[in-house]
Amino acid sequence: MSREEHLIRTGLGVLTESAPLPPSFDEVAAPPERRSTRRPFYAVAVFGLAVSVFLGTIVFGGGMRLAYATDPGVHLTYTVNSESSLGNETFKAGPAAVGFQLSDAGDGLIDVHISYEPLEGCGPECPPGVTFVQTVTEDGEVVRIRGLTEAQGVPGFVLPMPITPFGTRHIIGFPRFLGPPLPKHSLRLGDTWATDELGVIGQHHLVDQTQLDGRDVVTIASTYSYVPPYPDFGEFTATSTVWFDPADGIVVQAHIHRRYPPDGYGPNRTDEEVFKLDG
Amino acid sequence: MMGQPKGGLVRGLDVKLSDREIYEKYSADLIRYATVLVGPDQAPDVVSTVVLRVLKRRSLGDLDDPKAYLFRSVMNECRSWGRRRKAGQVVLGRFFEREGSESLDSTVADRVSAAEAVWRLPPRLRSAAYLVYWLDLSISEAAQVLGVGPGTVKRYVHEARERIREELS
Repeated sequence: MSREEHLIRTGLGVLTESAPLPPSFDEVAAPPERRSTRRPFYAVAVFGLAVSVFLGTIVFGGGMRLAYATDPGVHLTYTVNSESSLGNETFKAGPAAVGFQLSDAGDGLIDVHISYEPLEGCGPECPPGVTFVQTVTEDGEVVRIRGLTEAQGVPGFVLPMPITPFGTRHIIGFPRFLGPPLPKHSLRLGDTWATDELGVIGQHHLVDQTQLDGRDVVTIASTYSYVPPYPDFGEFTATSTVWFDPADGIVVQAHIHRRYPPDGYGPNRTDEEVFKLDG
Repeated sequence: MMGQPKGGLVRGLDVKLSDREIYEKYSADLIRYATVLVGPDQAPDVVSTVVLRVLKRRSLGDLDDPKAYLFRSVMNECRSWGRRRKAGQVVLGRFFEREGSESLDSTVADRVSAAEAVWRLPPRLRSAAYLVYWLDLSISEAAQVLGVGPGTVKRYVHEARERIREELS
């Protein structure tokens, strides 16, 4: 045995000595309702499917858990409608529809089958439809991507882009608006809170809370600004309407409308995103 | 062992083990593995999360190779936890509580130094080192757990040794 191997074994020995006793099977196998202290966490978790479509860029935001939304068979749809002007050019990235079908990839990973289709009204500037599969961890980290041959030849269609000002979870508006997971029931009309997501600072205000068709519906007004490492792109605002299933706190639908200032990044841009959990 | 063909761990026994039996068979190894990757405070939650997630979908006995599957899942889960928490010094503090930090003799000091050096290895190297040097898995078995090729495991292990050598020389 080499000296290095001996040292590694010694170090591993120290580390493993501190291992606690494993939880009992009964503790581990407790059904979700008995693990109610984690429920709020899961309630936020469906937001983990932070996918942004903008100017032909599809990004799967990382850093969040999908939890229940990762059950195989779950189907989600997502639409975006985005326009912006930059200099003399106007970009239109919508309307387009993105569908997600989740399946178990084994090893705790999830296959997200993604189809992107421009809808009627989306001009030739829209990238053509593509279908591909991203294998992700429950945090949303992309492990591998398959089936991108068609997309790779499309200018501007770049996958994945882990961090861009408009490409990640914080831009979606709702995925992490609770910041550290907060129980839904703790939110009250007028509540304000802040988030700091990788250089995008969000200030949020719960401006409306109601029930509609058996759903809890909240409206959140947000103002976002950038801090280094991003340049000062200026503030932008967002209004998010989020539908919860009151039975389990899962977010079933969200509609985000964002507005960007004339002198900001993507000047005069507005975009709308609709996220829906179909079942 | 992990390199056995499908079903080797459980079906090879020609007995259908219950979820409880399978869990209890591997839980101690899993908790140690998680401890090496994320520290003792987070390890129980990591293991619980992984096993509960599997049980929501299927029986552990339905997995082709439950041990390899659970180890891979723990590794993936630990990657997520590692991003969420910057636990470094806190975790090391817990590791060394039992080492008697007030009067370190040379043997204990060596153990602490070795543990610190191992803890500072990137998770993929630490994971490979644990599988090969602690669980004594073969390179191919460790590759199966890590979901990489045998050559990659060899590289990980070699790199781990090199880093330890440089750090403790």
